[in-house]
Amino acid sequence: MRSISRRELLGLGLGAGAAAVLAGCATPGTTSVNAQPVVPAARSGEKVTLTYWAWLKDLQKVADVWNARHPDVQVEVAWIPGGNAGGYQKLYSALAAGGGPDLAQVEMRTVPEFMLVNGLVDLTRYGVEEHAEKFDQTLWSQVSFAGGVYGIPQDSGPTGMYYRPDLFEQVGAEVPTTWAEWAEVAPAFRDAGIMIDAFPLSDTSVFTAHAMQAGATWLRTAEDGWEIDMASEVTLDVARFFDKAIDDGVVSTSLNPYSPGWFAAAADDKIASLVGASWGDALLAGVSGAEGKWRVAPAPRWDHGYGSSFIGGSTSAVLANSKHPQEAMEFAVWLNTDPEGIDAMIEHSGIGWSPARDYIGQARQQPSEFFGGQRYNTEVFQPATQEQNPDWQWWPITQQTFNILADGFRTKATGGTLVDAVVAAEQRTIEVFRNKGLTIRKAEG
Amino acid sequence: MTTATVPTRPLDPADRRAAVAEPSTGRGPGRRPATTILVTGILVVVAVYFLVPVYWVVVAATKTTDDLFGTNGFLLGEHFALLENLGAVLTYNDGIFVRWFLNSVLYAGVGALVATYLAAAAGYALAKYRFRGSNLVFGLVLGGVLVPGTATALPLFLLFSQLGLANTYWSVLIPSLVSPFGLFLCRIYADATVDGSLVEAARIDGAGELRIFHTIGLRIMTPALVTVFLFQLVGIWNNYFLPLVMLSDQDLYPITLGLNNWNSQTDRLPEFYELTTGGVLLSIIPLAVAMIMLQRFWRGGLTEGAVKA
Repeated sequence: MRSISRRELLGLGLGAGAAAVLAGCATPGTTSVNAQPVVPAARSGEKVTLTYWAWLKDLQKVADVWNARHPDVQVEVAWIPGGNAGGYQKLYSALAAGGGPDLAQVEMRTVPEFMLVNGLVDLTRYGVEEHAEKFDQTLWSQVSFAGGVYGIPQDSGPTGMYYRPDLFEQVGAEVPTTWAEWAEVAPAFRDAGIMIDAFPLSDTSVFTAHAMQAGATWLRTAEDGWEIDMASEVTLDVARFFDKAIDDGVVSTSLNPYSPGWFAAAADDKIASLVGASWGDALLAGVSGAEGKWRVAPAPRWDHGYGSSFIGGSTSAVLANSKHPQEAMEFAVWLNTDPEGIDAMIEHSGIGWSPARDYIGQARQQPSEFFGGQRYNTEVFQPATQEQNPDWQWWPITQQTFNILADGFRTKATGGTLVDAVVAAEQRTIEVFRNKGLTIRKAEG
Repeated sequence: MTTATVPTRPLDPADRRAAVAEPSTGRGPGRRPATTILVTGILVVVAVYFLVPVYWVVVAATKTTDDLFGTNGFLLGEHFALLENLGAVLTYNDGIFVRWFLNSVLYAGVGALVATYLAAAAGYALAKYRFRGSNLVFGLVLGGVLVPGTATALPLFLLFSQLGLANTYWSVLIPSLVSPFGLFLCRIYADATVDGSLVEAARIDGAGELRIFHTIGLRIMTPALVTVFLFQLVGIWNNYFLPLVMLSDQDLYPITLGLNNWNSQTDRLPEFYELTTGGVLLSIIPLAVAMIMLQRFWRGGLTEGAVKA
């Protein structure tokens, strides 16, 4: 990555928190920890205790594996509520008070927001590059901004298509490999009283994943600030596609995937497929009587773009007030790339897809009884990680953009269109950026 | 706080029964049946509105994950798994739920008791003693009623962090010890019910001010104190934001925070639905018990007032 001067970082809002007043708890006028001297590593023999705030369950059991091997660097995990359920609020408060843990679970899409309040340590100052090749490169680029690295990828969710072979057989349809084929077979399901899939209007991360797969990159950092290209033709094509699917009545907009209504419909054989993330497997297992009925195929493709996409994903980020960033980073790298760490996280914490490049986890190489003996992880999701949009970047107000977009999508029920919602959301995102004092312009082209 | 009313709640069923038995209140049987039907109808609608969620929790707590989404939410599922679910709630992670439960009892019980006592003392003092600045104090406290607890949580956290008290029992307990609304209520009530001549008489008999407050003031104010206690108890029990920012050690969590942690696991791990619904069921029991046990004090207090008047 090319290097960017400090002054340019200011324009991106990623280096200075002066302009950031986030939920009333940012600390205006703080200086970036990344402008201060590097904290030296602990002397050998010195005892270090790291704290890690995360909402993954039983992460302490995973940390205990590390603790047994590293008597000098002990990790204590605090179990906090999920990010948007209060976890982030808690982290922001702790940061503002000058405290907080050494490490915190921060979603990929929220990393830039934490950078905006000077909450994260740039790990390149502690030599993180030597570990870069252990990670999936697409995910690595999502934690890399302007030459710095601001988190260690912890999990993600490559997309594929879960489907019901029996229902496809019932309506005489082939499993689609492209979205065009998907649109062709979908009406047959509708006529049989089945939905081929659901399109959530309120959770726009799914639409975002579709656009990402089609090759869109909504925001990117440029030399003089942010460049937005949300309402690009690629994205609008995806919006038009789902506008039509909703108008034709082939997808459900009332049943958000994994919502109670969706579970009920799936148990009632009314849902034929689900284009979703790899972590959906554990949730599908919650569908009543679903054992053995589902299989997994690669996600349908657009006629441009990529074979897969991803939904969700988080990082282990080193927080600004850490007294031991070097050790914290080393633990995070171990946790997320060492086979021992990965296997323990799958067993105890039920994490999504591991970001490690060479190891998906012992349990995930086995055939799955639930999916009728299919080795779906190695067959579908592992190849999927090689076919993801590498240019995608998150931005400091990702969640807000998602909410704005969802507000627009909801007007679909009263005659609005997804296309209009995308165009409006781009405009609104630009306004919010400017209100925060960040530089942004519409991409040319 | 906005839903707070004075302790003589006219729609309390107990009051209504009492009122019906007493023709002089003007609510006797002579009323037109249409009005009775209308009022009863509205009360039924309100009761249904409040009780349906409770009913849902009870039903949901008896179901397996499969049944939770596979069967009608208001009917029992195929398997009656209440005991298994509650067993799982109580044993998960070495019984961490029990610990959360006891923490909540500590925060809410001690917090509400002390807050009630302080509110009673301050309200009594403001009502019964004339001193310079008493109205200013009262005005400031009234201002406190207007500021929601959520707004003060962050400043309190910054303060407690500086004092080194964040992430301790004290960090949740200390802010729970004061109740501006309780003080407000106690002053109004003491003004109206603790007669000045009664206090005078006690003084002539040689009782000290503290003794007068404890033996006469507190007793007369009992109905108001029960109200303050219940409000504070429910408020602390349900408080989420303050413990959220203050606490990071899950051994100190109250139930609200712990249940929310469980609930946020359901994104990926559906088995946490049972733990959450089972935990919710257990967590409403103490509040229900407190309400049922203490509501008769309300009525008792009201009759006292009636006799005096």
